Amino acid sequence: MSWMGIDPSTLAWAGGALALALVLLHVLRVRRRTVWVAHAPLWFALEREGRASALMRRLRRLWSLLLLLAIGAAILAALGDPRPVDQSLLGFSPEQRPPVRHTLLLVDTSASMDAEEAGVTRFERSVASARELIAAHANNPEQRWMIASMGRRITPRTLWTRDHEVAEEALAALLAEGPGDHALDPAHAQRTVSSVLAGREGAEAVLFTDGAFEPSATPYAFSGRVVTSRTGNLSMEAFNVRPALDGSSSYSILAAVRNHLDRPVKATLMLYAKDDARSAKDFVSPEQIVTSREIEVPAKGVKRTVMSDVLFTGDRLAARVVMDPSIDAMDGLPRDDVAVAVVPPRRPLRVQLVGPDDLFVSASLLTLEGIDLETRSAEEYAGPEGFDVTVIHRSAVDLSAPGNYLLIDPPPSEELRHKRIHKRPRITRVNRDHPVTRGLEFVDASIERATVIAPRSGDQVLIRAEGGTPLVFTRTLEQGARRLLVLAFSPRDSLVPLRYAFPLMMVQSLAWFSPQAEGLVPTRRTGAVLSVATTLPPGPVLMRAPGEVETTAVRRIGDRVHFTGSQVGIYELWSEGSEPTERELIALNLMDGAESRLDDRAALKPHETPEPWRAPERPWPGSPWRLLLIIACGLLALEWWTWHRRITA
Amino acid sequence: MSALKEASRSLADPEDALFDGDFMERLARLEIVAKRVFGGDRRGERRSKRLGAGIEFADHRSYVPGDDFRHIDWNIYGRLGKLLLRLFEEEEDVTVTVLVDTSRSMALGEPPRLRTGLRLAAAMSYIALAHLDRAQVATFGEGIGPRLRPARGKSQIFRILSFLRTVEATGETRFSDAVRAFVHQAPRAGPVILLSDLYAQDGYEEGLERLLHHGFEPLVVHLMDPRDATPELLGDVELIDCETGERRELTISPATLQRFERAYGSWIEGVRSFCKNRRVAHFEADCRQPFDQIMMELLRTGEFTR
Repeated sequence: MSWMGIDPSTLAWAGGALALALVLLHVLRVRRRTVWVAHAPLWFALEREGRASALMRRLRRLWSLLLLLAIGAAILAALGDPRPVDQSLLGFSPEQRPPVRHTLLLVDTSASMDAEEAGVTRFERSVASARELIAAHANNPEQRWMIASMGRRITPRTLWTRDHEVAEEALAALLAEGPGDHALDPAHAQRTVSSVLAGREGAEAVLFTDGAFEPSATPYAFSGRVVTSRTGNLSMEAFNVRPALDGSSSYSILAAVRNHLDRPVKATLMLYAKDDARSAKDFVSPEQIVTSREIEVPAKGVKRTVMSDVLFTGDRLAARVVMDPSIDAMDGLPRDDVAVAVVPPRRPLRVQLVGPDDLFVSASLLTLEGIDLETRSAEEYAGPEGFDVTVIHRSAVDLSAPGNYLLIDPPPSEELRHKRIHKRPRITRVNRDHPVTRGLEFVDASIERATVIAPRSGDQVLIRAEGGTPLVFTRTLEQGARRLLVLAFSPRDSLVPLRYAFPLMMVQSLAWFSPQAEGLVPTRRTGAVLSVATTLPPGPVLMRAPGEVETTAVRRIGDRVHFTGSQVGIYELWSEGSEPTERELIALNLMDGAESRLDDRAALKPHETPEPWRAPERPWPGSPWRLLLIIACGLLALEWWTWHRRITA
Repeated sequence: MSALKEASRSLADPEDALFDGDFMERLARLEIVAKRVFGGDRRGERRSKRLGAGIEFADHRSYVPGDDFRHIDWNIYGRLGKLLLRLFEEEEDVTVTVLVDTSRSMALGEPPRLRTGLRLAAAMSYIALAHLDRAQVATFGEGIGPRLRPARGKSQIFRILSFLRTVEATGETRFSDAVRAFVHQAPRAGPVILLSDLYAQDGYEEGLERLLHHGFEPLVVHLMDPRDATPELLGDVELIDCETGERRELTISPATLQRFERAYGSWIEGVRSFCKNRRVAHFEADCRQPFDQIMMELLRTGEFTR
């Protein structure tokens, strides 16, 4: 005898509880009512008459209880669905037991699943395929499902369940969520799938994917149902922003665009800026375009571009590549066309001016935005430590300490040996490619005199006079530990300060020294477990993800926070209880070349759909438990009938 | 009469105004039937065994010195020459006793039988008082319970009503013992109106026989509740005798009910034949009926009043 329904141990517990309840109900039912009568002797005479049948009455009550218990036992047995080993003995045709199957349905939720063709995404087609598979096996009572999403890691959406409606609901929820902005990690999935399927009868895993990931050297633990489409793709490969090196309030933008098509394509790179934007959707709006640039991306290649002198306000920037609509190709995955960046903060440039007070010099320095200028005499000079640039004007000071030095008409020293004086030098050549002198024009400089300083190997002359006399040059000592920019003449002995080029040259000189060049904020990837240094005040850290209103707590260990973001955008972090302005911004981007490559290259073993199990057709009441149920109902009716014939009070 | 109306108002149940003035007036015109002639203490409106100053001629007897000359029948003397004295029947009162069963079985029923019994007791007492008879009310259960001494005059109805209000149902019914005690205490025989359900542990027969034996004239008002005859019982029950507290478990089926109804019917028939055979007035009062209707039916029989 085998039990096809509720297992025997559960039946035993249920049987005990039911028997107890039935006995209790029976006792309550046969409990006598108390009736007061005026003249009992008349009744008692009758009782004497009926005493002969008392034993029979008791037996009837016992029979009633036994009937109730028999009914309960029959119903429980029906729920247990007992099947004799040899059903033919009872006249039933032998039944074929349905095959036990454990099927893990993995739905690829990586970014490439959002690739669209004919208005349907790969993800939608994957879910539809999973639904078809479930529907095909809905008749098998031994078919168990588990639904899981698969990105960088596997996330179960159900437990093992025989209820196909539960599986359907999980798929519907998955469909509503859509794919994420992350790549797929098949290696991690391998381990998890093996663990989930271990020791289960008829176990298999099916991955519904587009196959857009690199093939594994080892065989996969799952078979696949690949849904793909013939589509090309342009994707953002890199994107970052830094303040301009020229000391202006502009920024330099670095962007790289990858072309996955077999031919070069023209595209437009657009930049968006918005103060409170967090998701790509927040950025992409015509009103928020900062600038744009036409680019041509080579076939199967990358186009890197730097956009200088970009002006915008705010601390958040996004770039979006848009394929030229005239091109007969399709950009299949829109979500990798956008990348975001956090604009690094500008910090003031610390400059010290050493030497006699000179209005021309100090005034030209102050034309730079964001400068923190300190003026001191040669006697007060204590070295370049603590300053980004040290400007030394006609003063003999120690230049041996590592630092950035801007020397104006320097006196002779070990580093700058004077050869002679060049009277009335005339500017003959200006290096306009150098950042210091880029775009400058020195006309009618009327320099009275200049010092000819002995050149050294590695010197880079920016302004030269006739005869090769270097008027402005740079010198790098000790492998860059000391950088010198030398003006070999005194501005007071020329008309240079009266030209607009002079303050520009001073500003560009400082920018050349500027440490802003190191101010790139690194970009990070979605889906990865991040460990980010933070300067937030101590305490729990909260995070608001792009597109989310609710905040989530972030795990903080010391001065680092750890989290995983699944969506491209700007993530805001702040300490609980801190000021709203004290926020740290972290930009997460997809920027995964492998994920943006949309062709099927995973080489998955195709999933072979087994033949759906069909329950054998049997005439009613073919099943033994149905027969038991009929018997139970018959007994119930019989008991009711006899009880109400006998006792109706 | 106005005082009587006032008293009836004060004593009447405010819910059904049973003892209203008109009803009392109707009662005053009735008289308790006594088929036999009983001796009384005072002059009344009933014939008595005594000869005296009545107006009904009774007999002659020989003159003896000292007799009142006014009673000499001179016609007889003229015809026979003998001095014979004319004797007249004395009109005296009788003592009407109302015996009310106050056992616990009288408390059952809706309304309780005792309520009907007490009202009948009040009504019968008033009828007696209205005809210059003496009325006494006694209760009985396991023996003779609280009782009122015989009293005369309509004004005594207040005392009787006050007494009846204090009566409560309690104890068993030992009718024979109660009658035995009653006949020994009663100063003289007379009509005894028995208000009871006759559910006596020792039976009703011996008590009635004893009353008859001691010269009383019992008038039986059998207080009945039809639900006693056809109880709405079915199934497993535990029956408790309300008087003795004795318990018995019984399974009542329709067949059992039929047997009970037959037994109850034969018991009722036994009461009727017993009373008929002994010429005892017997009336079955359905306590569920309005009291007015019970009284009318009682009066209509003519066996209790005229």
